[in-house]
Amino acid sequence: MSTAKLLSASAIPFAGGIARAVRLLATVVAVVMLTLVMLTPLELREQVTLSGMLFVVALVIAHLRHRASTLILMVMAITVSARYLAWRISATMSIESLDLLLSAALLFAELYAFLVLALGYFQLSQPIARKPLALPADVREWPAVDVLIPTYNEPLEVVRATILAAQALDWPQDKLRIFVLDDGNRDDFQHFAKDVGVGYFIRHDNHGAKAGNINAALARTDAPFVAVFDCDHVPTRSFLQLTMGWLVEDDRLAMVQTPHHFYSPDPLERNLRVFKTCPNEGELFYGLIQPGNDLWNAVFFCGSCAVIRRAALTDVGGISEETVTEDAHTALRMHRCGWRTAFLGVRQAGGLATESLSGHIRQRVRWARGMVQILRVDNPLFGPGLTWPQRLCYLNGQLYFLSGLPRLIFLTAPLGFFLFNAHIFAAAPVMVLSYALPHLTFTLMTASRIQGGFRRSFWGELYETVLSVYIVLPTILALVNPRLGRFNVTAKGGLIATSYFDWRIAMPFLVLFGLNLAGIVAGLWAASTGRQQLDAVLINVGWATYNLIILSTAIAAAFERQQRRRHARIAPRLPAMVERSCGHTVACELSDLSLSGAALNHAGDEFERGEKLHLTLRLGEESLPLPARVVSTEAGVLRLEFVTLSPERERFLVRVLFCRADSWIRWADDRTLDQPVRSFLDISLCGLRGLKQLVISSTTTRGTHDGKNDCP
Amino acid sequence: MKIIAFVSAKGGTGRTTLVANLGVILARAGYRVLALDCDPQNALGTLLGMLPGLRVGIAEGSSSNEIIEYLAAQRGGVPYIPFGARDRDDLQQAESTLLADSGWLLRRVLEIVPTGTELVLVDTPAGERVWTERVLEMAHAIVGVHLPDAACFATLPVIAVILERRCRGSELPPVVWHVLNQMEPRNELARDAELLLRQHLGERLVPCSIPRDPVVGEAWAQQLPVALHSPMTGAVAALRELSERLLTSFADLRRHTATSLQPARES
Repeated sequence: MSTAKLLSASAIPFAGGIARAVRLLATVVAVVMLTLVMLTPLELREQVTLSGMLFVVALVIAHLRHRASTLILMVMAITVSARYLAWRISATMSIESLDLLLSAALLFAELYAFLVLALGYFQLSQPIARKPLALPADVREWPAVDVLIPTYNEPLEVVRATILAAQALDWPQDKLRIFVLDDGNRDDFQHFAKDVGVGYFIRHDNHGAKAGNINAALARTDAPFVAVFDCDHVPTRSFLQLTMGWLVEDDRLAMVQTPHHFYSPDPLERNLRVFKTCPNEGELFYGLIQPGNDLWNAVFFCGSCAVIRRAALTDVGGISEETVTEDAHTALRMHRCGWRTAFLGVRQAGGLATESLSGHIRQRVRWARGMVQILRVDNPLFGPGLTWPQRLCYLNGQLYFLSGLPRLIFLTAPLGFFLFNAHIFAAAPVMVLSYALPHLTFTLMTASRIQGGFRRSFWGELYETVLSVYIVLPTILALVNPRLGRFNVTAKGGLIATSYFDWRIAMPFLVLFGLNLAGIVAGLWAASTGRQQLDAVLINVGWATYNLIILSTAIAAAFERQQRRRHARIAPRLPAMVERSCGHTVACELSDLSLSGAALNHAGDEFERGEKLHLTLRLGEESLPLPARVVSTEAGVLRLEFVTLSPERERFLVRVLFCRADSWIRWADDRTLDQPVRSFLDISLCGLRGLKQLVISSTTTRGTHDGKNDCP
Repeated sequence: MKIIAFVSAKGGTGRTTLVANLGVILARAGYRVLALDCDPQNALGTLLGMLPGLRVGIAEGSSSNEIIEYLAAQRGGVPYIPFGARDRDDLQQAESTLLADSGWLLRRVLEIVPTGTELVLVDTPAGERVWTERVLEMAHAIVGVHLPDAACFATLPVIAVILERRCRGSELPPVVWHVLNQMEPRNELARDAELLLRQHLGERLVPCSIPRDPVVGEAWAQQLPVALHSPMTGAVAALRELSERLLTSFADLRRHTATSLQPARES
């Protein structure tokens, strides 16, 4: 398919039928030739020569900026990887029972990785950078929208901003209704909803969790479009104006999804101290995978920050309740019914990331379980209504979460050699290298090229490693019996009072680390006493060392760093002015702002701690003074804490903080492209820092926390 | 050379303060500025450092050469031309000249303004006066200055009439801005006034209202523009923003090396 696309890019415009025939012929010829290249076994010297030549060609191609060069790289990478696998199957499988068992296990993991790799290349062959489409000039033609904000157990403090911001959406007021769907049935929510003037729904049973909650609300509302926001995703004012254009234009378009953007660091970003310097886990998904899906009309709903057409929802019987990833499953059903979906890669909402590694993992375990459930109850490969590209894109999304077992195999594979003297590869070590190194190099090179600014090399391995041990069982269970398991809610807005090491969550990584380390020692010992061949030992030592690096980074991620601030702080560049009680005004520069206070740079006046004053912020033409108290005044930085804000002022502050159309747009602007070597050094450094901390914390008191106190 | 006129329907809105401070700010930003007082109150001089004992001014019988010499004698501050004329006879004579000869003021300005001057900021008397009318006729940009109180609404039609008369039939109508001075953001009445004014004037009302700040009065007491007296106040920051907004009216202005300004009195 990639080859065909590639050729079509440069095809001369023939008449339709001829062009199709030529393209088909070219594809067949290309596939036959590539298959020959994949399957032909070569001797060491020839294999090295071929790989070397391909590598040089790839280096040249990688330097071209043209879009087609990525496609060529993909084809080359898949060819080289397939060559490795073909050789691996035909020439390296042992016949001895233990060796065969371990070798087969590794082969299984490798085949899985290859499948996901190939599907990934297909999925990402041409990501679409969709632009917003203008709405009709006549505002009367804009359709009505109901905004649904489901909540269950999140504190009101987290949800207030979302509700106020939803009210501030730029949309005709008579066509915009906001509803808080409170499955927690809480009084403070009801009062707040009444005070600010939004709809408030509760249910008598919480059947169907979030999906059931939304479905119940759908039955009680009637606007032709429904925007869904998780209760901690605060929309910008332009959300509807940017997303609705496509939906108005195309009446078979069921949904427009926008990215989930987090303005607070997720646990990995915080604990590894890479917030804002290194793209986080979600950036690959929203930066590349969903735009990739968009080409194949396979964008799926992510549960929040999306607008859905009610007719499409009605068509599939509402949000799916059978699986715990109701969002992706609903989109799959809409695709089966012939609806289209779209992705608009403009950050139009900001939210809080999960605050602890254990919470982060719990959330992903739910995703993993849900995606595997879909694989069982509504397998995208079968059933009616889907195009082949759609089937493959969905399949890849679901297979990704089956990575637990393969990852564990990769993390333990060298141990078979070190501890049981098993020869997984029945081939000369140098031969292994001649096939495996090109495969690894091409995979790395191509991934780096495709992922560009959305993911750093090797970080994906870290994310998978952190998840692997935790998703193995749930995904296998879900494969066996998809009806198991309940929906769990991701905790947000909590604090981590003191830094601590989460021993419980890190234990599997520590064990794997210990095993790999022991393996290396045993292997080197065996080599020094001559019981093992040095070259085989070295290959396995290299592999185990790589495992150690990734595992140590996973361990480092379990050091929960203190998070004291109640509200995430952001730094909008806005004019600010302080008015003191004597009436004097001071011009300031806002250095950061949150719902609870602000920090300002100023030159001039002396302030006193505890002094009461007003901070006047301006948003467009509007400005409002916010009463505040001086918390500290150090080196020209004035820190303020807001005194109880009136509803009007809180609303204004929410709009300043979250609702500007450009609030999050420039977030990742200063990101550079991936540099694999640099990224490897970075991740190694994170790992080393983790090990150092581990040594320090185990020599001092062993943490009193066990990971349970990370919720408010 | 571009002429910016500052007008308001009633007195005490702070035109003079605005002219003096914008003069200082623009000069610091590297523009060649001149301040011209066409308000019989003759108050601009107190802020910009009037040389004592001289009877010079635009409305005086002073010859153009005398004014040019007077300008040359000023050092350090923003160059300015006082109104002059203090007694009723002088005033009446000047007004009748203005009435009789509509081109008189412009000719005089062109004669006396030093070559290279890019911006002339003109203070005018409040309300409908012949001085205001003549200044507006030659202005490239007009800034209406308002206070956030009930009276500003009562007088808004006056400004509207003046501006309409100026723009009617003009081939090159001036750019019009409005600014709210002495804004008190905490005062509900003032905020309502701002809102109403914005509804009337739309985006012609610049968003950077100048906050009320006692330091402006304290600076006056020391006969200094607040931009020199306490440059870090919120009021001056707002004035700075206003100056940037005004400059957008003229595409072809270019910055020069900034003039370092001393309080005029010391030089």
